[in-house]
Amino acid sequence: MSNISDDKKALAVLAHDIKSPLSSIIDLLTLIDKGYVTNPEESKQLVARAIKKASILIKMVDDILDYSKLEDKSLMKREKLNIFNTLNESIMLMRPYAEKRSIAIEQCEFCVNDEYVNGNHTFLLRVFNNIIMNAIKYNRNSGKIIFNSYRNSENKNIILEISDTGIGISSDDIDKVFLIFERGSNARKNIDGSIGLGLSLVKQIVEDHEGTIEIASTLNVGTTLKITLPLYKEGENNEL
Amino acid sequence: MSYKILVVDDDVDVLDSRKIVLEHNNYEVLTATNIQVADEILNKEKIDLIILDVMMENDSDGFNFAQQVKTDNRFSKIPIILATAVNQRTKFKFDIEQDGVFMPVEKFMEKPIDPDDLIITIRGLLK
Repeated sequence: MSNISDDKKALAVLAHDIKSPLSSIIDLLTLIDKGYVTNPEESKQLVARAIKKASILIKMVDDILDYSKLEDKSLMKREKLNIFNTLNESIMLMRPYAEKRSIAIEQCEFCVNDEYVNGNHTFLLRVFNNIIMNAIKYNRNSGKIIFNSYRNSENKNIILEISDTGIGISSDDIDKVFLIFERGSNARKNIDGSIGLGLSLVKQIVEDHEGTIEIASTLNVGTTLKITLPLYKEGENNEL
Repeated sequence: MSYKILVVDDDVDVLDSRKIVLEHNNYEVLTATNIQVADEILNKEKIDLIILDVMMENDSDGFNFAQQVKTDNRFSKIPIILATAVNQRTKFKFDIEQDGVFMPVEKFMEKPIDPDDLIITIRGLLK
């Protein structure tokens, strides 16, 4: 539950995180405007860097819009959904980013892979995309992302574990990772346009599906996210 | 001999922009994307001025580095320009009049920093 102080802090962080790339864009373009750079090729490179920064800003705004959409539950229609089809779709989308850094994606050969939940495809795809993208961003070059899945002992839930061999999260930071606008101190070193909405968005979506998410991490070893979702029951109400 | 300026910021685009402006004005520029590298440079090179981003890897890194420089007799006379994207955050007001004792740096500048203003400020501090 946020209070006024948390809201103010969140706004200050948001303002900083948006203003930093904006300032950087102005810095880059001012070099051309004020004649510090006149060589056409160098100017072109500066403009390209400014465009890249602007794209990061667009991603930030998209994250904020997605987060605000979660307030409107009518946008989250749910249906009988094969969760592994959604997961595999996400892996397919994210694989090129992993390959750029030679990160191997290892799927468990003997795990369950044909389970249904009462879910919204778009939002759950977003969950997997965010988690896998984090596992790529905060991984080492030539690292691994490992998937594991199983039913819980009562056969009521499907459990999905996604592990990476990345920079990990310190014990001081681990309690904050699901808070809005928070990033671990280790994560701040990876400047990529993340504004700390990713995992708070993931947690909100999982909880909207009556699921839970847990995190375990060791600094400089890796992180595992464990998602538990209720299995689909025939005839259950599909609306949130 | 030209003055040597250390620029510390975790955004490579900002570092490169500052470098271009400063070198255009005949300053020698050394850059660091984190406090550890900045500290190494400070101990190896004779630095005449530091431009420091205060919102680096975590909220307090820039401030801690500024405090460290200002309380070390070897470096305390090096002028520091604190650059920040937000001029008011938590308890830090970034007001040289009010916070000069608490944070004894020579100048606060809010990003984006106009290159001409930056050069005028640096010239004033290196007189």
